[in-house]
Amino acid sequence: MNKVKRISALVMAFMLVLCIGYFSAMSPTSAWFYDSGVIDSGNSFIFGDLSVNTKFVSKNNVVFDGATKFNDPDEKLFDDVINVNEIHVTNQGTIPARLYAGVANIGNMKGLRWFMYTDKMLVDSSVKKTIESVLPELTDEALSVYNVGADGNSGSYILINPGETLVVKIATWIDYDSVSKALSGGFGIENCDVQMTLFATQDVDGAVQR
Amino acid sequence: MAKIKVRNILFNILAIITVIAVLFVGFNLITGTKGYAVTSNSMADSFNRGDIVFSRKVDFNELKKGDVITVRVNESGYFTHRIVDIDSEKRTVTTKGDANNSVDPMPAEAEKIAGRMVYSIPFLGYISIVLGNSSHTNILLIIQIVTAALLIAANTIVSKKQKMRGDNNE
Repeated sequence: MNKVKRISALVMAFMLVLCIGYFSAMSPTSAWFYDSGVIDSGNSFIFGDLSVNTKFVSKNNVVFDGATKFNDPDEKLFDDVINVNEIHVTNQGTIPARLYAGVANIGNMKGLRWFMYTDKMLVDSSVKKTIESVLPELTDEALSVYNVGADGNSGSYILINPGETLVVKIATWIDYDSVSKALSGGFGIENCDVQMTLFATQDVDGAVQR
Repeated sequence: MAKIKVRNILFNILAIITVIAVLFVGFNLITGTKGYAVTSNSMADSFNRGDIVFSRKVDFNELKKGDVITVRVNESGYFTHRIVDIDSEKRTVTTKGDANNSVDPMPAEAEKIAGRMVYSIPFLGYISIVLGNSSHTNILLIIQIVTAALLIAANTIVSKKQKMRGDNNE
């Protein structure tokens, strides 16, 4: 009887471990944690898993020192001309989050371009070199695909772990080719109204609402 | 004597848990019901992070508003939300998390719907959340093999000891 019991215990223990294996191998299911709340001021974006604002909107009037061309290898003053906005982003949730960005020109200025990065991503402390390192080619199309994806609803993101705070930087500039004619006609590039939006979503592939 | 009693109680507990677990797993495998560990609170109140939702594949035409469905986002990513609208022509459904203020950004296509939720069990999903990534799964497999080996070894040693005792008594 004891032998039967011992063998039974052995088989049961093994079956139990197999069952735990079954549970542990289950796929995770999650969801985009959108919230309609919007933070519309300051330079801090703090979000959690849910029930807090997951969208950050900042409207700025940017004064650019000059137009520039990120796709011109001979442009040496690119890093001097760009405008950089810093936003402190904190993930107070319990799961890693992706941070996407969107930048829109809400004024009349043409040729607004942008690039989101953190200091960790910088190549030789240069935004231009960093852009060169992440784009397959230095074109507006490649930059757009990098920023917002080919479908306009995805693109590059920065991963923020639970409890982590990152200083996210958004570089904006005015593309020289887009405004060169207007500039020669006396048009200034100061007073560019820019709206920057940050979106926090779960670390799962999918589209984001821009 | 007390030792034997404790051993018997432990054996009975193990037996009950194993039978329930095996029946449960067997039932899900036979009925084609697949479990998903919930990792977020977008369906809070209906189910929470750490629960397991069990979904079964159904025909698109059987779906109706209010059903909770599991949708495949990519090869390993899923979300489980409630249907708020169905477009029969395009064969898509619009979903929304009960705890979310707005609908999900993209309608889910019929072929991406992994199943309709049948039931959920609280807390069991933490097994998957804690052990669920691939490296942990490998560790779990190793633990399984080691556990089985240890149990077999323990069993053999106990048998030999008992045999030796028996020989000595004789």
